[in-house]
Order: sequence, then C-alpha cells, then structure tokens
Amino acid sequence: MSDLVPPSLRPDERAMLAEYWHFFEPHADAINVELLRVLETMPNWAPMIRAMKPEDMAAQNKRSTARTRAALVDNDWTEYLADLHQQGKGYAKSGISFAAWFEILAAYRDAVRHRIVALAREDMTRATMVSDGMNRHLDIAMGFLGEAYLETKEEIIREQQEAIREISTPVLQVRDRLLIMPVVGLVDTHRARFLTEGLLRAIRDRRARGVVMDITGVPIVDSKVANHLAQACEAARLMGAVVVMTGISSEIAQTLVAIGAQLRGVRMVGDLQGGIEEIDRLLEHPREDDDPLDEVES
Amino acid sequence: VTVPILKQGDFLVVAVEDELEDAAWQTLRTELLARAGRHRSVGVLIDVSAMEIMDSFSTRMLDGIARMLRFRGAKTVIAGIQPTVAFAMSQLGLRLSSAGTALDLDDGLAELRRRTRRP
Repeated sequence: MSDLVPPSLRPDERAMLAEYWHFFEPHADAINVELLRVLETMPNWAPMIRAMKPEDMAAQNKRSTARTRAALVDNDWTEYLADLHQQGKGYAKSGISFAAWFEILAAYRDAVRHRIVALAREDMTRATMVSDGMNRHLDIAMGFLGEAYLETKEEIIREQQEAIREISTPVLQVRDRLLIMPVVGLVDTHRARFLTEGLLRAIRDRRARGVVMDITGVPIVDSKVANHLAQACEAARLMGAVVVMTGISSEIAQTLVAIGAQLRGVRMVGDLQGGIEEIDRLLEHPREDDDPLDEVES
Repeated sequence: VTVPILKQGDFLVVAVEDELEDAAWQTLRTELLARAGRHRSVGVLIDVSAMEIMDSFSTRMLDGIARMLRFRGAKTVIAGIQPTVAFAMSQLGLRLSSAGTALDLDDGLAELRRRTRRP
C-alpha cells in the first residue's frame, strides 16, 4: 500500500468539515436508512446490500461513523483514509464501475440536502457552511477512493501484461537444430526486446541453425514493428542462424509497401510450411545470392 | 597483444580472446592477409565467443578483414557471437555483411566447408 498523505486543510476548511459533521451526526441513522432504501433499487448495489446481514451493516456503520468523526472533527485521517483505500481496492477487484460510486454520492446528497434546506430557513450562514463542508468532505473521499481504484486497476493491467508476455513468446523446436517462433499479438518496443532476447537464448541453448519466425498472429505491423522484427532477424543471423519470416498477410504486405518499410535482409516465405522447406534448402544448398558478399552495399 | 593464427588444412583459424586495441586489429589484419596468401587458404574462421563487447570499430574491422580476404580469394566466417552481443549489435545497426556467421567453432568450420565447396 502506498503512503496515504492526509489532505492539507486550511483552518476555514477544517471548521466547515467539523461544522458539517456536528450537523450530520444526529441525523446519521435516519440518513443511512434513507440511503439504503434508495440503494436497494439500484442494479449496481442491490445485490451487495441484500447480501449483508442487518447487524453487520449496523456494526459497519458504527465503525465508519467513528472513523469519519476522527477525520472531520479531530483531523486524524489515518484510519479513515486506510478504510477508503481498502474499499477502493475492493471495488476495483470486484469489477464495480467507478460511475456506480457516483450513484451513491447522488443518493447521499439527496438525503442530506433536504435537511440542509430545512436548516437554511432558520440559519442561512450555518447552512452554507454545512453544505460547503459536505462538498469538501465528498471531494476528499472520492479523490482518495479514485486513486486507490486506479492504482489497483493499473496493478491488474501490469500483472496481465506480464502474463501475456510470458505465454506469448514460445520458441519451439521442430526438429534437430530447427526452431519456430510464432509471434502472436501486438509487438511494441518492450516486447520486441523480450522476444529477441528469448530467440537469441534459444538459438544458443538449442544450437539452432534455422529459425522460422511466423507472424500470422501479429495484427498490426507498422514501420516500427517491421524494424523490430528486422533487428531480431539480423541478431539471429549474427549468431549464425538462418532466419525466414512467414505469415505476412496480404493486408500487412500492402501496408508495408504503403509505408515504405524495407525489412532489408529478411527472407520471406508465404506460410510456415514453406518457411521450413526454404530453410532446409538454404542449409543444404547455399544459393549464390545467399553469399553475403554479393549483397549490394548502400 | 598478438593473436595466434592457426592453420587447419585449407583454412586459417583465429580466436580473438579479448577486446583488441586498434593497433592489434591492424596487426591481425596484416598477418591474416599475409598468411592466407602464403598458405593459399580458401577460408578463414574468426572465433569471437570470448568477446563481451562488439563496438562499431571492431565490427568495421572484422567486416573489412572479410572484404579484403575475399579479394584474395578466401571466405570468412565469424563464429560465436554471444546473444547479448548480437542483440546490442542489431540495436546499433552494426552489420557484418561481408562475412558469414556461425554458432561456434564446429559450426563455423562446417559453414566454411559449405561455402568453399567446389561444384
């Protein structure tokens, strides 16, 4: 958990938060009941509300009241923020949308507003202060909740990326000294690096002489990706392996020509089977144009 | 530092053990060309598996040696470029376009035989 830094509040903000709490606390139970009634009609929240036992909910409300009082009145935010953080994480993991939280906010504002309006008839100054305090309170709460929510979502994304990276760059041995590497999914700079390193390690460890890199599963090949793939092929060649690239779809071929990508020094064959046959041929009978000296230097 | 050059049949074999100074590269080049002529070698194998860094200078030197040997009628194969070195070279765009490559010494000799085979 990251360090939760309490909000820095001006004295007038602290006063309005405390004023809001002193107004709210006597109404707390009534407001909670009203809030529950509304939430029970909302598809996002009704199942969760129904799943809770009334006595658990009462206990939870009591703890929440104590924490909120400590924060708003005594300016001690530690427990309150820790709880918000926990909740934000929980909602992110259980897949509740962020927007659903604003439904609760709207219901809460409704429940409090008509009481503030009643107060305004007697004491306009205090009512303004209470309503300012409520808004400040909700802003702080949503800020911290949102941060925890995003943090957790980002963490999930990182974990998934890691998982995808690991499963998506297998290097398979077809037979003695011949490898195939099916590349599936988007190739970015980071993944290209990972993929190339994996390929080079496999060439050394399994003493490969030929590699077929099949990119049927790569949906987008732009000039950057093309460059990455060409670099991987060149690195493999430096280690003495013959590389053939296969599986370039007609759409990708058109894109490559349209953007002027060169893929210089990369041998291409239509499909995987053709690629394996081509490597057999290259390893068995080196062609005249296989001799690198005949390559035109620019 | 002088790099020993070994004769093996029609081939010459060199193992570059360390990062070489500029002058040592030039000595190696001159020696290789002279020996290739004297022994009528048709192939030269340069093993670089001990090199942990291959910068643009050493790449240019190796490529130049391969090109010059070609003018004397000999083919060159560079063997044993390590994965990390190969990766760095490809990132920097360093190419060894005048020489063949091979995984290690054994493969390098096989590759030379293949390249110098007379029909």
